Amino acid sequence: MIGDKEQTIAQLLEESQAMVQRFEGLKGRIQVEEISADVQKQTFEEFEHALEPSVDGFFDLFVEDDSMTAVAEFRPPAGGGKPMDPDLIEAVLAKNEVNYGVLWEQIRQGLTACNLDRRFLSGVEVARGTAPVPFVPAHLRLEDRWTETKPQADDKAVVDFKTITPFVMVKKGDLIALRMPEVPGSAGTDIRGREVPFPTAKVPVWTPGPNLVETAVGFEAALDGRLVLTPPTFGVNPVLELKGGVDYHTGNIRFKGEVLVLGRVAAGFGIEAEGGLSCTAVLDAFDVKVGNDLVTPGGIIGNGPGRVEVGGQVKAKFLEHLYLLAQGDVRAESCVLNSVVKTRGKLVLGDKGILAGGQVHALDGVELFQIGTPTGPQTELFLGLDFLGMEHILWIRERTKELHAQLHKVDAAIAFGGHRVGELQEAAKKLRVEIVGLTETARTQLMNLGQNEGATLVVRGSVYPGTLVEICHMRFVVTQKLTAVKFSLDKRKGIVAVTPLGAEATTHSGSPLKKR
Amino acid sequence: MATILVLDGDEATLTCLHEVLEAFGHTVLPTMTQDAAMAVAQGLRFDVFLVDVDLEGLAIAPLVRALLSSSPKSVLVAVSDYPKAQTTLAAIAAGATCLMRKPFEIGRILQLIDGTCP
Repeated sequence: MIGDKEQTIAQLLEESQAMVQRFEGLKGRIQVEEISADVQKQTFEEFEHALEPSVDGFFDLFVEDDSMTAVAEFRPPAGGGKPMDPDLIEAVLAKNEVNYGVLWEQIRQGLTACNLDRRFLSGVEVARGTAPVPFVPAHLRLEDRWTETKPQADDKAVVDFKTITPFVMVKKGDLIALRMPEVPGSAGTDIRGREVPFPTAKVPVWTPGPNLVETAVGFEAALDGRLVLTPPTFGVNPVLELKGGVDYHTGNIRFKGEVLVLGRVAAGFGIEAEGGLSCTAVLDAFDVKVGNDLVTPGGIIGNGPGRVEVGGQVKAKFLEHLYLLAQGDVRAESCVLNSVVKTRGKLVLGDKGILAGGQVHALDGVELFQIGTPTGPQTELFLGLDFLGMEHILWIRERTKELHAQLHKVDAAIAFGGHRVGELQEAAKKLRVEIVGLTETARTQLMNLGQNEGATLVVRGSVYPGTLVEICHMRFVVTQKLTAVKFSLDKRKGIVAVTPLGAEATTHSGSPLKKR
Repeated sequence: MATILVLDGDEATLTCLHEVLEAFGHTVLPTMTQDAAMAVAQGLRFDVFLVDVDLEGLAIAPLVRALLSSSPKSVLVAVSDYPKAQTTLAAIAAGATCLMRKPFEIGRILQLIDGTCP
């Protein structure tokens, strides 16, 4: 103990002497600036030491919800804190039950950067599980060249009609679909060592339809024709190609497949195609019935009392004097003039497309540039109702009226029926039964009537006075020229609202609104 | 292929007619005023004139005569929604070949060009 004391005193004296000697040696040579810098350094060190609390190095771990990865935060020691201990890391991993896929090299690097370079690191991946490999069932995959997407109309853009190709034609022997073998799945392991079951991949399901030949690799076209994709079925429809158009040389056309008319369809000739119809020139439509799409880069001009019924979409440059019933959308590039167009989809006109005269019934709405002209014919638009359902209801209403009239006559005759009173009473009874039946059918039809309250009319240009817009039975008559507006149903107020395009504010400029 | 002069006050109608008829290979010159139509007609030969006779401020008879005399073999179609209006009758009296319903009738125009329309 005494020995220690002596030793300490001796050391103190030795240090004091060395210090005196050092300052003696420096005396007279030290510049004021050096003293100032020394003082500054010392002051800062003391200041920093005073500000920085003493904190040990720290390791924090975050395990993802799916337990497939874990990331860490490496916080360096501060002040007089202890460096991070590797045992601490192991303890944190163990506490979080991370025992699989630990990335020790990443941890080592993080530890070095943290303890030696005093760097703060976050988001360092320190554990990674093994992802499962999904099970892919055996399936048919359509060749990419057949499924390249075609441009479609949307809310903001108009259709570029020039880029729309009517049909996808295939040749006999063309490979249509490849048979993709089953790919077995394998389970994965999460960072806690638990097994992760493999999922089943979602693949498009295609089933072969008509006119296909099965080969070792997949399915080929059995004949030249049009590729028809009606999910989940794909197949090839035969095509009837009429190079000279349709006229007295061909007569009326009836074909169980696609019809391709290279030329004009003369007035008065009918075409019935179970598939689609494509016409390269003007279609003077008399009676046309098409199971699929009707496409023509020319126009469709209605002729006489005939009508055009289309099971799919209609694409044409213009429509004129036409009575058209379409299950799908109707797209006309330039104009629709004095026509009756009924669609269970949308009517879309091109960039500067005009609708003038006639009637439009469109379940999903209308988009166009202009309706009417300054002094043009009146145009009526009925949106948001399924025309087929409405036609059934109106037909029933008419038949019911006829039956009522007949019943009235029979009832009146009973008083003078003589020996045939019984027959008249029986007839009246049957008429009553029929009327009740029809009324009930009409009620059911009305309940099931297809309705789209979200149907809108978008006019990018002008809509002229006299135009009638009806959405789900609510009417609006345009009484002054409106420009760049959208008509929609305001269900809460029970009116047709007119909104400037691109604005939220609502304005009304039309006749008093009334329910039909 | 035909050369067609169109006089109509509605720009969208002009654009639409232009688009449709040019798709059939015809040349279309759209004009919006009487002066412009007269000026264009002086320098070129036309097969068909489509004139919106409802256009405000038209001196219809002199216009019809001037157009027809500039291209003597042409046909002039008076386009109107008012067949019995003074301007329509004046156009017919001045030599208009036929009357057409507004905004226009593509089928009839194509027939006129083919020479198949009476």
